[in-house]
Amino acid sequence: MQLKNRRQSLTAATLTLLGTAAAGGAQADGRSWDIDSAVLVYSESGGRVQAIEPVVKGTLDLGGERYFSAKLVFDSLTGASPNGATPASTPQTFTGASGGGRASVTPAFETPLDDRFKDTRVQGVLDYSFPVSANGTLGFGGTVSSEYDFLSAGANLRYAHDLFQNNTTLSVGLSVEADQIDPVGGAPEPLTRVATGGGGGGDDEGEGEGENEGGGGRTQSKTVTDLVLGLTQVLGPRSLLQLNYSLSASSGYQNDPYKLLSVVGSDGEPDYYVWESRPDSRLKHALFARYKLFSFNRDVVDASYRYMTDDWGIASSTIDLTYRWNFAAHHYLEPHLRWYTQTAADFYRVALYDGEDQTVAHASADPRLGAFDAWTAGVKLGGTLNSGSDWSARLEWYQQQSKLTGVPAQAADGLSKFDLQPDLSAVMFTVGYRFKW
Amino acid sequence: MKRQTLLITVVALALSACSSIGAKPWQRSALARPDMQVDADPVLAGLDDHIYFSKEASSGGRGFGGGGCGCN
Repeated sequence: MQLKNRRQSLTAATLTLLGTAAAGGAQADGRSWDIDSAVLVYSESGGRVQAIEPVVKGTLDLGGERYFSAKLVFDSLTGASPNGATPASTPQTFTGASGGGRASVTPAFETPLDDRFKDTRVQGVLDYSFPVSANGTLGFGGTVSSEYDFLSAGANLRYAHDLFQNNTTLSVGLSVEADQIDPVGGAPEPLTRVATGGGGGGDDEGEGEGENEGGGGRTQSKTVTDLVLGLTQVLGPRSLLQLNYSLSASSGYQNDPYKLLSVVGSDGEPDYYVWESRPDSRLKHALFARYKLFSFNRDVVDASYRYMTDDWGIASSTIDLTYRWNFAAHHYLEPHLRWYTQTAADFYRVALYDGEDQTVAHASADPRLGAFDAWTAGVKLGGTLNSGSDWSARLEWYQQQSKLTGVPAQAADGLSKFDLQPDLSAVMFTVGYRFKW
Repeated sequence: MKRQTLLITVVALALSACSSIGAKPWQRSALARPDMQVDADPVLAGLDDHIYFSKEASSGGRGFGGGGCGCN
């Protein structure tokens, strides 16, 4: 009897060491991984960016509310992306930076694209969270991401505290990320002339002073520090509210090393091109609110709003709505609508007027820094199999509608014959599968 | 002093409002559902964040805004 008791206490001690203490309700008969996997296929119209992104994430319940997770993301991109230049009445020739110096010709009246855009990204994330008191949970994680011209490493620390019988949760998180950018051919000197392969549109003053072939620039770097303060409040037995404030400070190299601007005459035709120039720091503030409601004793409404503003002059609003219709015991249909709007950065310019590249401090024609509205509409179908595994399939459409800003007044008439900011549309298809392993 | 009294009154009112909202432990069956969690599908949300981060000038809000990618 005594022996039996002793064996029991030894077993208990061993389980405690292994982290499977009975207090956590964990199974003594071996742990299992919760595997959450998904594949996203993203396709832009007009032969632009195509992407395939598989993700797999495994979470291990170590008992006692302790969780370890590991996530691996692959990201394969091909296709073309606007290089920032405006269309011209005659063909334009560019030696795309990411294409290794080979020339490409853009037909007259078409938006110049860097059509040899190709990239593969691999990202790994590790995370661990555990209770530090009856009401407090600490979490920390690390991430590494690698592309052929980009390397990123980050770490984060989070703390969450439950109050008022778990009706209120306060949280704080800090994240630091260090990025290293190695542009193909080196980082070009901002606002210096781009070497072109000749061509009708460009003035092709080949020997122009300050001309830069994109070579010689050193490896560039930037650091991003994020602070997130959160409040989650249970409003009642069927609803809750989440509020977040986040601050993001980025310092270092902010340019897209492959983006340029056309410098045009009053006729709107390009005389030459210069590399873009952005400030070397950016401070963003965001407020995020999410409301969740369990409705009709069956469905889930999820509504969120985000306001973001930064010191580049960009302000944006995002409204996101999903309605999960649990139409059968193990199946659901979830329509989704998202609306987004942003104002342009102060230094966003469709093109620069002749000589303006000598007077401005910063300029970028990157469409992502321009003003636009965007809509996402989609539907997700999902269910639970007899094995307990969950599956989902989601199809969505994304459409950006640009609002023309940043046109140089002296060349406005000349440029008016071109489609300066063509709209972007994309289709996204995602399948997801979660299972125990 | 007046301002202090006002502050205490406001805080007390706010706290009393808090006590009338929320759910008792036995009223939490809906809140415990997987689809009622604030981040019910984190892998899908991560994919969405990456797409929008690379196509728009905003990021973050829901969580950390850093993208860990050279796409923006």
